[in-house]
Amino acid sequence: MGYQVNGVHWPQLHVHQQTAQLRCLMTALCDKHCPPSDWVFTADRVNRIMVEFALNFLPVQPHHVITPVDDEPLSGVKFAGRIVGVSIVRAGEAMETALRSCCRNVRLGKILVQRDERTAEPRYYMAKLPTDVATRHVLLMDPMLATGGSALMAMGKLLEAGVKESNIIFVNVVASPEGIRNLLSKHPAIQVCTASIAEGLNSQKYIRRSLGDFGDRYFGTLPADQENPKPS
Amino acid sequence: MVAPSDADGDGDLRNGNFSSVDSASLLQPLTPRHVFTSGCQHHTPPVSSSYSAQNAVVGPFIIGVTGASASGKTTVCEKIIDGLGDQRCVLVSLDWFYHGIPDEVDPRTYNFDHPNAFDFDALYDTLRSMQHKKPVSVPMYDFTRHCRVEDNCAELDVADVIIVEGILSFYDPRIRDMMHMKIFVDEDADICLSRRIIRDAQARARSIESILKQYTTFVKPAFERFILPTKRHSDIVLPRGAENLVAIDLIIKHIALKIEQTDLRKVYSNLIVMADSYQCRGLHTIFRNADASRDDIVFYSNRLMRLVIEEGLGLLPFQRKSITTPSGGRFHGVGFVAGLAGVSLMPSGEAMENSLRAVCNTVRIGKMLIGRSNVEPHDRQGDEELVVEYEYLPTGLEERYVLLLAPVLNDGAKCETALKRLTGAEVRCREDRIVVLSLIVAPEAVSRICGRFAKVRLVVSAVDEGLDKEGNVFPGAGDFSRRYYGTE
Repeated sequence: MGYQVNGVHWPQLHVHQQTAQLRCLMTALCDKHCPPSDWVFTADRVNRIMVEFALNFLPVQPHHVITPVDDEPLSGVKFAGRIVGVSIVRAGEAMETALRSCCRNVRLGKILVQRDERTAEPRYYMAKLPTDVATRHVLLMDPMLATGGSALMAMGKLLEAGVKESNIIFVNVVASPEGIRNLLSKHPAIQVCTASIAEGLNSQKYIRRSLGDFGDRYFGTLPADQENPKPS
Repeated sequence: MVAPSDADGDGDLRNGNFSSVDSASLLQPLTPRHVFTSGCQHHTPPVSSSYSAQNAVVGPFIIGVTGASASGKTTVCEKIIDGLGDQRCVLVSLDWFYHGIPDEVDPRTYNFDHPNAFDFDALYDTLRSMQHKKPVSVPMYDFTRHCRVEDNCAELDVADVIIVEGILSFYDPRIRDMMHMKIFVDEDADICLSRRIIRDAQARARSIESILKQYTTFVKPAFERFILPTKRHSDIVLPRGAENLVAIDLIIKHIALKIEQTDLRKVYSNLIVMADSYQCRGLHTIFRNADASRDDIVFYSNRLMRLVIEEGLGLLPFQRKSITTPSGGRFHGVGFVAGLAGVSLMPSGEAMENSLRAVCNTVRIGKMLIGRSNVEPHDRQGDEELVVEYEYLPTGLEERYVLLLAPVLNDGAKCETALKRLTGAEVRCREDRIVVLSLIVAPEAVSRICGRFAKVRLVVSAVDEGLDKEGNVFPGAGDFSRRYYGTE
């Protein structure tokens, strides 16, 4: 268990096995020239894979069933405890569909945190959480972990609401080493599930050689000069 | 259980299981009648008295008819009333509202065609009372005594349709604004004059000279100065007056449609209420239920959202497009022309995003969070001020059609704030390119949005009775966002 980043071993960090399929999907997401319809479709697939992956880190308990074959008993497991999905707006909301597809009647909370362009600090706008969030396992969803500023602020809101740190799973697609260090050194009891570890951040604090702004590409809100780039 | 969850129980309808029903309680399928009007939207008359908006008080449909003297206004009105059959239709004539001639003035020199000759305030008050469905008694003008007489009153009953007829019925802007349809009867001036000569010579035994003198001194100048300029306010110009049977027939059909619309569509042509069917009502029945599981709320409201979105997309422009089928034949169809964007009012509007994506997979989606302003309470004046707290909008909205997603509208104030922002100087969305999509709205929200943004179209699945004490739509579906997401 765990994963080593830049020589540091993080036992709470779980990187999805780099299957050929996942690498194909991630390559498409990182392609500047990927058409928007393909990009959204691919992002939905990756999100689904990551949500299914993250669900593996929920606790289970023994469960016995009777099989239809000769009514023979089988010892299995079932999920224990109740969950809630909490997305960090906007990009995290792209993962809600995937979670709803796996857990039909799941409750979905939202935390709206945006980077204030003047101060470069994340600013908190709103949080919508179930009243009994403290008793639940939380899947905190944000596909991008760059500096970790938004994730840390969202973590603060969850802990404030009484959620146990060890009950939080951070569901992610691309994580930077800086973000992992900032998040896991502050909150060592959470689990982090990601599809890939990036090289690092550029001077604007964007993840280098990666997929860009997940929210803008998913919701089609790219600035006009970055729309539909054609291969030169 | 294969997936973690927070509650037990499945919606079984969805899995194709039916509960057993007593056949006596089965309902026949609804057969909504689709009526196509001049615009691209279609209207369907409501099919039951308890479902959508019937309980909201909707005033009568007011028609204005004007035109030159002796142009055939009265005959046009009579044909309309005849054509409507037994509808509760009341004719109000501007001639009843003459001020009367002051004692010292010779009736032969008094200008009956000047706006000052009419008591528009009295007409306005009369129409206001009728709008509130109160019967009114109007003193008639006596042409022999030249005053309004209390002993001869027109008793105006409560009406579904009011026709206001007279040479200057479009003159007063207050009265003009009350009219839902304005008809200008456009007849040749020589025909009007010929009719006038015959009428006044026969009925009022006047000499040709005096008739022509009055025509050149008062009637003709007043037409050119006061009546003709009001033509530009008219919705319909009716050439050849009462002889134009095709136009009168079209007018009657439109009014008949409006009378059938006992709900707010009668007064707001930019309100589109989706066709009612048991399928649709069944979806409402499940997700509005206080006992519904979130599983059911999500599944069934998603289905309804999908229907509302398809309805909204039907309002977008299309252009002709011919294609070749695999068998080599030509199919003459249409193609979409418009760029599209969705904007969701957070957080409830975001529930509609998946349904929108399901039909437009690369649609751009913007978000807006409207909240109370941070103004200190003692600084507030009147209404609490709403502000756009957060927004993230796609670029180029000024060229796109915008679907504003807001599943439930209470008083519509937040939606209004969002519309102001979208149509404002910075975002510059075109009002006629915005469609608000909603599942359940209160009549108050309809008045606010359809009334204040005449070109914005509002597509809804149901208009409810009104607002409750907390200001939420009633009977409504509770706090939609809280129920859909399971959060506070």
